[in-house]
Amino acid sequence: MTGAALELGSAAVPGSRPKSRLQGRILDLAAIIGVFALVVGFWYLAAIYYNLGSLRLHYDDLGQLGYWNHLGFWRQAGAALNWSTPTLPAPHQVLANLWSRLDESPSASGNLWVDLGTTGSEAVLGFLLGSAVGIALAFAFVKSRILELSLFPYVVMSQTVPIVALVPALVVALGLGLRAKVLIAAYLAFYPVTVSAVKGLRSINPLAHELMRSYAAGAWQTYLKLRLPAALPFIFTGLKIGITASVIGAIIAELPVGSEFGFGRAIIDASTYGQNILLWATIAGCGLLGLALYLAVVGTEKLVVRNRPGEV
Amino acid sequence: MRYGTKGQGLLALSDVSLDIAEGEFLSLLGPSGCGKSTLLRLIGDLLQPTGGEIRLRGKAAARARLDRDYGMVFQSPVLYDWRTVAKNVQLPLEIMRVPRVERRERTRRLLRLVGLQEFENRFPWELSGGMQQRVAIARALSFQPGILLMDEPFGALDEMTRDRLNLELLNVWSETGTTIVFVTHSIPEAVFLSDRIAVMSPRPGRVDAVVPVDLPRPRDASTREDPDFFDLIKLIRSHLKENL
Repeated sequence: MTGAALELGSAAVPGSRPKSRLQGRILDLAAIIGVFALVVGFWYLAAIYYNLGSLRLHYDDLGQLGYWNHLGFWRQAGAALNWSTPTLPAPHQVLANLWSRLDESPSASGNLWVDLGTTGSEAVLGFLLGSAVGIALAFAFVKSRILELSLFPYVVMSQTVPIVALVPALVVALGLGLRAKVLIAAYLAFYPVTVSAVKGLRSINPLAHELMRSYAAGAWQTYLKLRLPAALPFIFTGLKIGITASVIGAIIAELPVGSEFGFGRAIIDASTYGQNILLWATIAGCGLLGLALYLAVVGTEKLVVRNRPGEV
Repeated sequence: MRYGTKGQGLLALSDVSLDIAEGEFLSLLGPSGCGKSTLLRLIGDLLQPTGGEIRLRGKAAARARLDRDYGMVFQSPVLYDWRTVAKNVQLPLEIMRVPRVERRERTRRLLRLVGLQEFENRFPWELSGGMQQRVAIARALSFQPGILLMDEPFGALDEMTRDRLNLELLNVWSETGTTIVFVTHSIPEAVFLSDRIAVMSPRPGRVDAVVPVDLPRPRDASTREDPDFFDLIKLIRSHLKENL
């Protein structure tokens, strides 16, 4: 009976299994690697599945279905993962494509660095412009009720217009240069920044305002010492959404035929010529670019928004 | 005094007349809704009266606020999360453009006064509620205001902490010589701290009696055992009952 009582006791203590910091780190790392392995494994399985189907049709067209069926499963799977015109390319093919595009002559379209630089700079410039506009709008809305009532409907409407419809119109107006692309990236980025900054600027304890009033603080001082720092965590939430939106904006803006460089142009090329490896490699490149820029925003946040409760 | 939106102003306080002496400790005591916090905000020019006038050393309340004569302490400490304890105390000094060296010097002195000198580099959320309120008091005193307005500053604390902070507040008060107007709904707290207690009642808010507290100073824990202490509590309780 004593044994049972002891068991009950230890089960009732929450978090009764102490974990060392190192153990925690190792578990985290294992989880990250595990999920990565699952994603890659699933990708390989999917690639085998889809490519086996199309390879069978391919050999049937050649009249060599008998030869194909004669191969064992493993050789069939091997062929499926190394086909030069796959339905779904395997991870190592995508990686090899990205790798080879690093060495491409920089003047030719297709060089990965050039594409990264082109799309990346459009996205970053658009993000900076969009964020500045977004924060400025938020300040204006918080300052003036009339401005908010009269302008906010357009802000919302701007985001419901399909961007794909807007891009050709803007490109016609502004040309194929950098300007149209930066504007479109900014157009997608400003909205989440506006919404979160408005929320942040309004999230302030009314007593903190009374305190500033009792110090006879000026409007500018109140913004600088109270409103802005209090709103920063909210603003960064908007910036994190805005940076990914601006990457999408930049890529979509490159889609109209005639762009010379950038991931958008690579996507058009790949789908025009049915180059699935190039297409998937470009998709992966877009994802990696977005992740890198997102991490840059997170890094900035760590520098700027320090020492808040819950971040010990 | 009425306040509220034009036309439908709520009569929050009527016929309140109080003189507060320089260096005095005056408490506003009464049940919730009696307008004691409103009165405090009117004194501090955080609200404007619809009639009557408030003068501080001959100045109108609005002028006195602009001259930084008021130090405010609220029920919640309202410290800025992103500033260290020392930086919170310095906030009013930054706004008032006090030179950096003097800011540091005053902050150090005040943190010593409230017993938090070892916590100057901590963040507010690392401190207990009582410690946070001590920081708020140090911050309110940092620019040496003529009058300290305290709105139930210890109302959210447990009784043991409250008793200790009462003692510390008396200590701070005697060291700085500031005039204090102290809002509370705790009778023993008001009696323990005050020179005089304005007993208020609601609907509309008014001052029913001003009770002088002639307990000897300096007061300490033994004051709370004094028969006179209990007599005063009884007296004030009877005032409150009369007017409910």
